[in-house]
Amino acid sequence: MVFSSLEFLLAFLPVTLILYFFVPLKLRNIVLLIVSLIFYGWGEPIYVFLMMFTIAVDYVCGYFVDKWRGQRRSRNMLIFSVIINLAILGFFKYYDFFVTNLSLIPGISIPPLNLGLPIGISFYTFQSLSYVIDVYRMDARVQKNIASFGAYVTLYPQLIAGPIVRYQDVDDQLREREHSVALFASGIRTFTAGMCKKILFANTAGALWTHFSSIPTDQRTVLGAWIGIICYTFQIYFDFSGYSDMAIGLGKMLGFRFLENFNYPYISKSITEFWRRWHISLSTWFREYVYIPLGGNRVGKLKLYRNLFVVWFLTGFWHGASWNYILWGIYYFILLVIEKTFLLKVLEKLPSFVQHIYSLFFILFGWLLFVSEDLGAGFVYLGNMFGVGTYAIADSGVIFDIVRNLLFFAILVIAATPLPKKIFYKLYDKSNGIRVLTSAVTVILLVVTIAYLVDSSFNPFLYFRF
Amino acid sequence: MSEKKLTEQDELLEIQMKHKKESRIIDIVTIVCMLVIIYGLSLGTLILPDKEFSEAENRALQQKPRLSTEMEGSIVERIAAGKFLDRLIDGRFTSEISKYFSDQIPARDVFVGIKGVSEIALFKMQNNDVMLGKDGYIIERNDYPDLENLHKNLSAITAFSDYVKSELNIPVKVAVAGRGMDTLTSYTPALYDSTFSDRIWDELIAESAGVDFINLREPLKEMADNGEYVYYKTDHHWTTKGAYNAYKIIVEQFGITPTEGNKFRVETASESFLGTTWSSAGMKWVKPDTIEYYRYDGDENFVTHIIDTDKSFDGFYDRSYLDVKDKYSSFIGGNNAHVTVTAKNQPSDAPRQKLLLIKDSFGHSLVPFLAQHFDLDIIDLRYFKESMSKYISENPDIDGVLFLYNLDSLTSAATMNILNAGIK
Repeated sequence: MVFSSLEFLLAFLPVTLILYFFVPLKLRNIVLLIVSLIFYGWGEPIYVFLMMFTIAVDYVCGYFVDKWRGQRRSRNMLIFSVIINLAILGFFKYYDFFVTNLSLIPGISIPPLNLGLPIGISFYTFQSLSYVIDVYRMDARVQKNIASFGAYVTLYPQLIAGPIVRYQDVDDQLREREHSVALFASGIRTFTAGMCKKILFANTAGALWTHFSSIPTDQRTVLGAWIGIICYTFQIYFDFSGYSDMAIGLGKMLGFRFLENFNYPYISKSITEFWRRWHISLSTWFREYVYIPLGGNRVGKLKLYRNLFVVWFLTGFWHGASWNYILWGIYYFILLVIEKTFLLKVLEKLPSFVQHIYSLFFILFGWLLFVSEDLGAGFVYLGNMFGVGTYAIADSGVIFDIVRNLLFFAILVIAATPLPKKIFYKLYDKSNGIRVLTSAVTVILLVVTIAYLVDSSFNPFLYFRF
Repeated sequence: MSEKKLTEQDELLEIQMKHKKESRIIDIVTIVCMLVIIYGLSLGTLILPDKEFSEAENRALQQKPRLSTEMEGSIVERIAAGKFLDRLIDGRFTSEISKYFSDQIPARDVFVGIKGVSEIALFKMQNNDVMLGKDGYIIERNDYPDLENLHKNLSAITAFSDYVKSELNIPVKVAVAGRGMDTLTSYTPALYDSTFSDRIWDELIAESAGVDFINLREPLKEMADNGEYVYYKTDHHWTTKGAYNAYKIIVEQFGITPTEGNKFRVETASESFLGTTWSSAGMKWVKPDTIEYYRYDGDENFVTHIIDTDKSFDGFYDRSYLDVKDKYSSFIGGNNAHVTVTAKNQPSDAPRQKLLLIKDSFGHSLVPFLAQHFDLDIIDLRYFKESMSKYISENPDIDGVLFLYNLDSLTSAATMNILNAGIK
């Protein structure tokens, strides 16, 4: 199930809120576990068992990692857990990719299994792994209550599209968390903001991207190609950060505090900065559990580049079992290395608008690579952006679409910066009227997003490949 | 590292704490409003009786989904038969529940309207691919119709026309009407010009060289440009006036002098027609259309016989449709596979010419005019899936064939190959 759907808002959420708040505190984690499993199993019930298996394995591994601390066996349990988790992920997500590529070699022919990818597997596997690692490193205490541990892995707010919550960040909250009117109301606000981002911004921008990218190749225009990928750039940000906001908001309603996952990535002045602001929980995960264990940057130059390459190759591959994601990761590896070696120093001396344009330019092409699972079509589209294969610079269709969306684009641009938030906080602090208005606007926006859901022809879920 | 940094929203929470007293009341109101909305809509959907049919959208609505195929009997037997919770396990239940909430949500029309208003308020000039045009016109937009399918359909029609003309010696005319966006180019929003219409019509005209092609877009577009009401403002069909002008052009091609416009008595059948475009546009403020019947002496002396249901009525109009949403269906009773329109009391020694009309729904309002000159055998290929070449050879009393399609259905039709099935 996804949050941005009527069945979530009108069936799942009302039922789970009642269950959650009407059971005693002690049972809340069990309720969370059960409703999260239902949330997960909605539509594809069979993979619930896979997830329960992951929970059981990591619960047991965590237990023995702690119990045998200081002995070799403890380390072996950790390795065992890592292997099992990666094996499951590898099998369900990457098996077909490997065998179809192997089958390209003459003489080898292994049929793909065409198993459906268990939704959110990349997210929850990473979460579950972080528990065993955190316990091993003594960054977190062992969780003896399997329901609480299960609730952590399956926690439905962030189950299918992140943020990837590290165990150490919610360790205490799993044992005890505060529920308050202020936190619940704040959760509603964050959730509604996320709904707006997803439904009003991302879906609308996404419909435009779909429109422009599916124009027959002989009828494309240069302007249309640019507007199309710009729309996708908006779509992926508002979609992803919208999901994160919804997750954070729902978390607050249930008494959890998750860390922010996006910090206005499109205002970055370099690619290095972009990756500090984009999908923070994923970058943190790779830094904490891959980059630093490999030696991080406290190693020789050659090893440093190796470490960076490993992290970015994996980051790309994590996003999907397809070459374009790998290339996308390597693309960022190259950009980051270039910045690290000299470009950052050069950029700092340039006017900030040049830094912004530089960053957005490469982010934009990154997204074209990211969205082009069919690399051939991606290159055709890239050509279109520079007048190769287009029939005109612009036609009346694209001009009409730009003009009629000017206001919408302006809203998107502003919403992608911290400006509205800053102004809003200031006003919120100053005037009681604004505080009342905020609530009114929250409620109105909730109704409007429901209206868009009722009359929706376009409401994609982008993370099926993750 | 594990030190918790402040999250963005915590900043807001801190500000809230500063104004704890006022915040608390506001927070409670927010929570109550949110709960009222989601519980109200949820219970409303589940408790209120399910609507079976949407008049506005002219489609059946999703009913409460069931978990199991078989709801009665013992659980053991049902499990053995694979009829217990089977609909849940194979995913039918979950996909239907999603449709169920969007179809049965209380005040669905209000929500659809809210979205329409929001989109237009953002200056988007269109919603759900319907453009808000000038003078109360709303016009469906489709820049990139399936040209490949159009080519396929045109070659099927050309082959059919060649066969019927040369082998059976029967004239075949192919008349194509414009879509709203082709004909109403004067009424589209300012920046949207006729580029996309012209492109496909150029293709169409070039590809129709092999048939007796009648271009109905050009003349009707000219009339629309001059402010004449030839297409409905809220529906994709032409008005009766539009149909009359099409009729004049078509029958001249058959060598017949059309009846002058002033010979008809114009009857206003309905002033509250909200068409299909209106239904998908979500622009509830757009004013309804008027449906007119062009009456003439003796037009009750015809019988419309719907062969699908073996139902007949005198004249061309089934006025029961005027009381429902789908008022355009009052012309010959709407979409049916096979309909005939014949003159009553016609002396058998002076039979009338018989025209085979292969059409989409644009043909319905044309029938009253054509019936003055021909007995009509009316086929809708979307439902009547048999070879037309064979049909004509088996019905030697057919004297002519008229294809009448609007560009949209000509482009999207999927079964045109059936025309020639069984020949060669």
